[in-house]
Order: sequence, then structure tokens, then C-alpha cells
Amino acid sequence: MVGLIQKDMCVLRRQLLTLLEVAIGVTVLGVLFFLSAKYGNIAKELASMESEPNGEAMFFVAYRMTIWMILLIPMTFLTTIQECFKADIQAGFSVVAGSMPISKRTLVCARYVGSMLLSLFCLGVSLLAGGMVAVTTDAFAFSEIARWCLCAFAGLVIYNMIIFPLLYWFRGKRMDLIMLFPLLTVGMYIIIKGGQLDDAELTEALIYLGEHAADYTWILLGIMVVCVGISCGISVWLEERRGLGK
Amino acid sequence: MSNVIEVEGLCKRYDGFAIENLNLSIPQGGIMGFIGANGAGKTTTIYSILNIIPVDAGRIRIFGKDYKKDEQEIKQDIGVVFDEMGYHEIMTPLQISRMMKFIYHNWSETEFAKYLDRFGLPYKKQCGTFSRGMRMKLQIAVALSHEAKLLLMDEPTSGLDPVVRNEMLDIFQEFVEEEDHTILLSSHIIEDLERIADEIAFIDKGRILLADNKDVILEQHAILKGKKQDISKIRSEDMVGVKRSAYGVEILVHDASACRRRYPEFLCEPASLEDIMLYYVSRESKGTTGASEMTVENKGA
Repeated sequence: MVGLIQKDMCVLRRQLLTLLEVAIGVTVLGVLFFLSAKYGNIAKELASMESEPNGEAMFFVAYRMTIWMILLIPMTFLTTIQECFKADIQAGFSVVAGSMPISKRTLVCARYVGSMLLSLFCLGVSLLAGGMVAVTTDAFAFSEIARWCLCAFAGLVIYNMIIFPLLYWFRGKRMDLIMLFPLLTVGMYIIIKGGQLDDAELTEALIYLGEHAADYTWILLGIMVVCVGISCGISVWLEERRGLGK
Repeated sequence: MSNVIEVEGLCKRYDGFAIENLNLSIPQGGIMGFIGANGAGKTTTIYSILNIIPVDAGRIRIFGKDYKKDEQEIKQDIGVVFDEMGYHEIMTPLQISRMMKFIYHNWSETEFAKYLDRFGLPYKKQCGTFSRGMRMKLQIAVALSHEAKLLLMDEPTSGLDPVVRNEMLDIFQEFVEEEDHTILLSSHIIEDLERIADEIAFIDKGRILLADNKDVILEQHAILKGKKQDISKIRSEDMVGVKRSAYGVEILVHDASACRRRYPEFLCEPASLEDIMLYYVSRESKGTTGASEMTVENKGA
């Protein structure tokens, strides 16, 4: 399994290097945003919101959410594990793997372990960037950032876990479509639900999300663990049931 | 002599192609040439032996063990070379070696480095930049660096220039110098197999047409050349196939010594593996068990 994880990391090496560059970038961006929001042009813009109904709360949400979004950028890299599927197909690695003394279960589990390692690495980078922002600014406490990062981490891992069995099912074909499928489904749901709310309800919902989303961290992490188990089980079953085909 | 691979009643059906009831035994020691045209079923057979594709029916034993039950154990002793490299182009031989260290119990980095040096392959260059010859050599280096006792090779020499091909054939021969080392070498380049194989199996449309010791096959088969009107003298059971041309007939017979005595009016010439394959394939394509008919139009002369 270690060998297979190493192989995946070789494939992702370029992405990991980009991730480090992005991490430095978002830290700088986060600090700059904080400074601008506190003393610069963004501060003036956000201050004008205070006169609107719910303005203070909205200001709080917009201000913090922007910094959070910036900090969560490195986390999106955990979806790059899908590059490994692409690389395997391009190289025709499945045939080579089939000739090696590795069970299909090991093959699939290695991909999942690799994915989790990459996810943890991305989480670490986001936490690091968040820690830097927390230390250099008084925007928020590190524990708050950490919970937000964990939320995003769990969400993106769940996204990966939905996609993985589909990638195994379609043998890595139609990857773009598969990757879009969960996003479109959630997007459509939000648009339909959001469309049913009036402006005041929508503002309420955003404020609630901004203030309480992190409260669900542990529930999300629990769901994530269950998803990893189910997704891995389905993928192993698919791989063991089907050969290469022709 | 025990068999390294025993395939009994292998069936694998695809849309438009099927392997039906294939039986194949590969004796330990030496090289078995697996000959067949493109699409004859060579790769499917090798994939089935390796359990890369699920089979519909059949029993496969490797080193006397069940190929599914003892799959991991068996594969520790098998080296495989495919016609395409299969390693990620971004990986270097050094990274491949590091990966293999965790996959094969007997992986030897020293041995691998020795082969890389011998083949003139760089350690730290991405294999995506390698030529076809270099890619094949890399696969061979991997296959030979974990003390494999059996090499399964699917068209390893196709698309290579004669110099590299020759070099590779030498390596294969070197490998089987060890008593318990065996190679199953699939190829449609019969010239290569004629040179190095000890055993030959002809496959066509998913069926083994002929499988025996190479020398026995060459000794048993011969081409009789004679006049068109004399063909009626030859018993149909002696003939594998007939090739008619403007100058006469050429008949492949499967009992050369008897036919030499029986038909002295014919000129008896040794048949090459290529001749034998062409006559057998032609007979099969006509769907007959008797002799096939081939017509050659001689132009010019």
C-alpha cells in the first residue's frame, strides 16, 4: 500500500508544490484583506452596510466570511486526488497493477488513504494560514478558524467520497461530468430553496450560517467518517466484482 | 518436466470475440512462444492467466497453485512485460524502484540499478521522455529485479528496431539459463520466436491450433511442391493446407517423414513457423478440419 501511495504522491507532486505557493498567497491575501477591512477602502464600503436593516450583523458575516473563504482556498486542493485517476488511465496503470501482487482491496484502499493524507495536508495548510492570520490580526480566534477549516475539510472529503465510487464505476471516464454532478445537485438545491425565501429570510439564513455553521463541525466530521467507510466499501466491491473489461 | 502454467477449458466471451475451451500447458524451464495474429486472443489469455480480467469458465493453475486463491503469492514470482509501459510518465526509474520495494518481497534495488546501468537507462529522468525501446527495457528491468521465476511477456518486441530486439532476445535467453526459469512470450513476430523459443503454441480466434516443442513442430511439418495435376495423389488427411499458384502447388503436410516417402514425385522442403501458422490460420478461417486452399497470383516473372 505504501508503494501505491508513493506513486500517487509522485503524480500529485506538482499540485502539492502549487498548494504551498497558494498557502503563502492566501495568508498574505488574508492579512491584506484584514488591513483593508479595518483601515482601508473595504472598511469604508462595509461601514455603509451598517445603516441597512440587519446591517451590523451582515457586516460581521461578510467581513468574516471573506477571510474564511480566502483561508479555505488551500482546502480545495484536496479534490486534486482525482488527478491520480486521470494519471492511472493515461498510463494504463490498471493493467500493471493487475500483474502485481496487490489485491484490488489494497489498490482501492491505498487511493483512499492517499486521499485522506492529502486532505489532512490541505487541512494543515489551511490551519497554518489561518493561524498566521489569527496571530497577525485580531479578526478572530484561532479556535474559530480551526472549526471552520474542519467544517470545510469534512464537506470536501464527503464530496470526494461521493465521487470516488462513481469514478470506479465509470472507470475514470466522464470525470468532469462526475465531478460536477454533486456540485450541480447541491447548487440546484440552494438556488431552488434560496429562490423561495424573500430578502429578509435570506439575510437571516446567511447570518445564521455565519454564526452557527461551525457548531455543526463534529456532526459533519462524524458524517464524513461514515461516508469514507461506505464509499471505500462500495469502491472495493466494484473493483473486486469487475475486471478490466475490454 | 512439471508445468508452470496449466490452463484448462478457459472461456472468455466478448462482443464479437471469444476464447472457447482453451487448453494450454507451459512446461518449466525454457521459453514458450505464443504465436497468433493481432486479435487472436494472446493478450486476453495472458490477462486471464494474471486474473486481470475475469474469465467466464476454466481452471488456471500457476506453479501448481490456484491462480485466484493464491494470487498474491503467485504474483510475487511473476515478472510481466506488456507492449505498453503502464508506469506514469512523470515517474523516474528511481521512484518506480521505491514503489516496487513495497510491493515485491524480493525486490532488489541493487539488481534494478544493475539492469538500469546495463540498459543505459537514467535513474532520475522521467520515463515519459523515454523512447519505446527504453520503456521496454525499463519494464524488463522491473520484471527481472524481484527474483521472478516466470516471465509473462505480451508483444515485448513489437515496434522495436532490430538492434534493440536482438538485445532483448539475448536477455530472455540469459534469463532461462536458470533451470527453473520460464518465459511465456507472446508475439506476432515469428522470426523472434523461431530464434529463441523451445515450445510453440499457435492461437487463432481464441483457439489453440497447435502446441508442441518447436523442433518437433518444424520436424513434423513440411511443404511439398509439385505440379497441379499431382495434387490428387495426396491423401486429404495428410494435408494441412494447399497454396495454388501459376507454377504449381505447395502443400503443407503434418507428417513430413511419411509424406517424403509416400510422395517422392513432390519436392519436400522444410516449413518455417510462419508457413505453418499461415496454413493453419487459413484452414481455420475456412472453418474446415480438412486442408485449406490458398491461391497465390504470381505476377511478372
